[in-house]
Formats: sequence, structure tokens, C-alpha cells
Amino acid sequence: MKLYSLSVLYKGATKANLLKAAYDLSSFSFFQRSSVQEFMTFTSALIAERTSVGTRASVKEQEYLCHVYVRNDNLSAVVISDSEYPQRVCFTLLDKVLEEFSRQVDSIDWPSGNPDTISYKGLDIHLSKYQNPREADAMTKVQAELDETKIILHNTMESLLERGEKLDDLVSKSEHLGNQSKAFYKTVNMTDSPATLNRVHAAATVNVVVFATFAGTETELLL
Amino acid sequence: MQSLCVQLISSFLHYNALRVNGEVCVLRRKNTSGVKHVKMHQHNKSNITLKKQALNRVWLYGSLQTKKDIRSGQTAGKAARWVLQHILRQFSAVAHKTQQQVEAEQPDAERTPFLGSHLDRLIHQEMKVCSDAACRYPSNYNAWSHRIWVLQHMAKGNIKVFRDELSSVHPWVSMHVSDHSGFHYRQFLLKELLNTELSQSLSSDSANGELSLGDAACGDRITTVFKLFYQETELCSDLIQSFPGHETLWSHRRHVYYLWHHWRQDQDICSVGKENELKPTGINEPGGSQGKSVDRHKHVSVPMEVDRVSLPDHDSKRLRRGILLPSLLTLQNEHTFVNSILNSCCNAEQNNYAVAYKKWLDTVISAQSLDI
Repeated sequence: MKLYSLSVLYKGATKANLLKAAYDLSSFSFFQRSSVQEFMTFTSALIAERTSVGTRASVKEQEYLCHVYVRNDNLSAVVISDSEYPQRVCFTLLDKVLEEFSRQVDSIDWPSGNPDTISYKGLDIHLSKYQNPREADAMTKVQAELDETKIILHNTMESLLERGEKLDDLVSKSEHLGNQSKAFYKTVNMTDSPATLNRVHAAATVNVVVFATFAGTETELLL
Repeated sequence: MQSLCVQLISSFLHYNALRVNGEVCVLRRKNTSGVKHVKMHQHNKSNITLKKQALNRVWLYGSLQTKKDIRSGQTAGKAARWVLQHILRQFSAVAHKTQQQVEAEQPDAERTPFLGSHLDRLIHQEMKVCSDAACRYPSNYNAWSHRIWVLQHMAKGNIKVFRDELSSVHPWVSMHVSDHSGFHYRQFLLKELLNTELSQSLSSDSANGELSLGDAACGDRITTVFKLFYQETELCSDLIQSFPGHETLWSHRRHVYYLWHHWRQDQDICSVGKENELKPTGINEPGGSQGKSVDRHKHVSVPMEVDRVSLPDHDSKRLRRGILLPSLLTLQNEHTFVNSILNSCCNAEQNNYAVAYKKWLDTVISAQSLDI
């Protein structure tokens, strides 16, 4: 039961602008982390762009679930979790984060802000606290305003795309992805299914060869 | 004493290699000859223990990491178990020697507790490795089955270890609610505890000449078993309510209830004979455990007539005072629980699982109850 990333974005007319993000990539291997982070940013921005104002949605992609809430004032938050993490708690978290963010950061700064200019420090704390959903959220509390039936569920990321749009094109045009990440994406065997965070995981795996020499002493090397 | 050089050269995808005493034996994914090579080397050693532990851990860490390397994981598990068996044989050989020495009145008796604590540490280390491996990828069958193997062979009849394990995986399963292997492990621990309690009660019955003494201890054990089941059911209910829509939790509930149901039936069968013996002495005692046991047996044989809704706080206080409450784990209460889930939840999957569980109760459990 894990949360991987939490980001706040501003949904502009044509694209979503990342304002602040926090990540917990401890379950990924060291060499994969930078690529995984970039893809999570890319995914969060894409989902925020393709979700209508004033709605909540969950996008399922293999074992990852991305939950998004786009408020009526275009401020949005996206959290990426695994499939065990309860959906209701995710949306509670998104509500909370947006509320706090809008109190601390002036709305003037939203359309043009970026992680360096925005000074909001709550994301890391919230991400870490909510790793344990029961401690962070009183599960017995009934969310009166949250009606689970109103959350749109997408079974793949593909369903967010327009007709004729390809994820490959979006990846190659994306400013969130560095060249290395784009290169990894291309090396993965693309058939009909879109690339997923999983595939990045596989593609970014590097043959790690670790040598250690021990002369005459008993030592263990543990990877 | 030969020194052991252990090197692990691991490439994520293809090879696990081990360097033992300057010789590199490369283990390809489906090739177990490297393992045999290592085994032969170990055979020549006199002082084995710590080195084997190192070898052991290295294997498990190296091979249980990647999801794709399932075969390596199996091979590593086998190697680890071979190593552990060797250690166990060593231990029992030393213990046997110690035994003989003690009998011959020689002052080496302190070695047995040392061995005991050494064994405890080994077990503890194995548990740690398994739980690390389990975290790395979901439903890690190799890690969990190795964990079970370790307990079966190294902690036989050791109630403390089983109880400790039960409480140590409690937080883990609460955070991995769809990992079936974790819950399967809990089911294994429950069964082992039941069997151990059962065998202990049988042995004490045969050992004790006086019936009344045996029954008091038996009553305690029965309370212990009740508590076990009650706590497990509570954990399950708690998780089902907090995390809707996970089939693993409902499957676990089935296992636990089934275990409870059959254990209760076995108790009934055994106690019918006992009841006849108890009658002259037991029935007239108002507060003793004997009286309570007879009461319980009558109670249990007609489960459908029990019509008490469980009030958790009240009942758990009574449990703490050691009073037997079979009414907490009846079929009636299971139905009440399922109905409460169906009424409160709007998660479609949760609803389906609840309905399926209800059907299972009706078809499997009720049918078996009628057969008594």
C-alpha cells in the first residue's frame, strides 16, 4: 500500500502547469528513479490536462492508480498510488492539499508558477504522512460530500487521449521528460499498448556489476 | 580454519555468480550446478555456522530480488534450506553430545542454552531476510514458503516463536491487504498454534492422573484458542471495513472461520466422551472452569439458536476476565457482519465479495453443521 507521487498543477487552457511535486521512489531501484520521476510528472500533467474542470477521476494503469481532482478554479492535484491504497483516502488527501495550497499560495502565481518559484512546503509532509492511510485519515469518518459514484474511472491511460492521438507523440514532445527518459521509452518494444511506468521500469534496468575483493577475510557483500 | 571469501557478482537479468575460495562458479538462471559446487565446498569445512549464515543471506538477497528471477529464487531457497538443515544437524549433534556429557556429569551444560539462543538468532535472521524479500515484490511465494519451512523445521512446538511471528506480521498484512501469501502465512501460524495447543492438552491429559487438574488447564487452553480466533476475526473485520474491495481479506476470513468451525466440531466430538465423565463432578460447580466447559459444549452444539448480537467492548472485557464466549464466533454473527457490510458499502467489488461469502456460509458451513 503505497503512494508514489503527489503534485499540484494549474490547468491552463491548453496545458497543465506543474506548480509543486513530492515523490517517494524508495521502492524503485536507484538507477531507475530519475526516469520514473520524470514519467510520473509527465503522467500527472497529462491527466490534469485531460480531466474536465470540477471533476474527480481515477486512471488505472497496470498496478498504478492515478487519482486527480480538478477544482472549479482550475487548481488541480494528482496522486499516484498502487492498487491497494484506498481510493477514498486519496481523494481526501487531494482535497486537503488543494485547500492548504490555495490558502498559502496566491492565485496570481498559479498560471505562471513552477516548482522553483512556488514556496509551498506541505507536499512532502503530506505524502509521507499518508503512506499509512489509517493513521492519516479517520476511516470511520463518512465523507458526506464525496460520492464515490461520481468519480470517473479510466481503465487505461489511453482512454484519456483524443482519437488519433498517440502516446508516443506526446512522450517525444513532452518537456517533462529528459532525453534519456525518451530514449528509454523508445527502446521498449512498442506494440499496440502504450508505455507504462512498468515498461520504463524494465527499460531503465541497467546491468549492474559490482565487484568487491576481499583478501583473506570473511566479509559479506549484500546488494 | 579456512577462511571463506564470498563475493557476489550479480547482474540483474542473467547471472548470479558466487566466488567461493577463489573459484568462481557461475549460476545461470536454470542451472543448479553452481549450487552443487558450493555444497561440495561446504562439506569439507569443519567450523561452519557463521559462514553458512553469510552464504545463506547472500543467496537470498541476490536471488529473491527480481520478480523475473523466479527460478533463481527457488534455487536460492533450496540452497538456503540445505545450509540450514546442515546447521540443524550440527546443532542436534552438539546438543546430543552435551546431553551425554551432562549425563556423565561434566560441566558443559551451559552450551545448550547457548545453542538455544543461537538457534533463536538464526530463526530471527531468516525471518528478517524473508520479510525483506517479501517487500520487494508482491506475493513472493519463495520468500513466504521459505519462512514457513524455517519455522516447521527450526521452531517445532515453540509457541513463543509462533506468537511472536503472528504479532510481527500483523502490521505487514495491514499494509499489504492484497498479498495473499502474507495471510496464508497467518493461517499457517494459526494452525500450528492450534496443533501445538492440542498436542499439549492431550499430553497433559495422559500425564495427569487427576481429571480435575487436567480440565482446568484444558479450560485455559480453550480460552487461549478462543482468544486467538477472536483476535484473528477482529483483524479481518477491521481490514475488510477499512479497505473495501480486496478478495484476499474475504478469502482469509473463510480460512479462519473454517478452521474455527472444524476445531469446534472436533472439540464437540472429544467432549461428548468427556462430558459423561465430567457429569458427576462438573455440573454442580457454578463458577469453575468445568462448569463453564459443560455449558460451552451444550451451547456450541446448537449454533443457530444463539441470538446474541456481539457488543465488542462488553464482550472483549468479558474475554479479558477469562470467561468463555463462544457466542462471538457463531454463524449468526458472521451473517450480521456480512449484512452490515452490504448495507454500508457502495463499492461494487466489496458487495460481490460479501455476497459470495454469505453464500459460502449458507452452503458450506450450514451444511456441515447439520451433519453433526
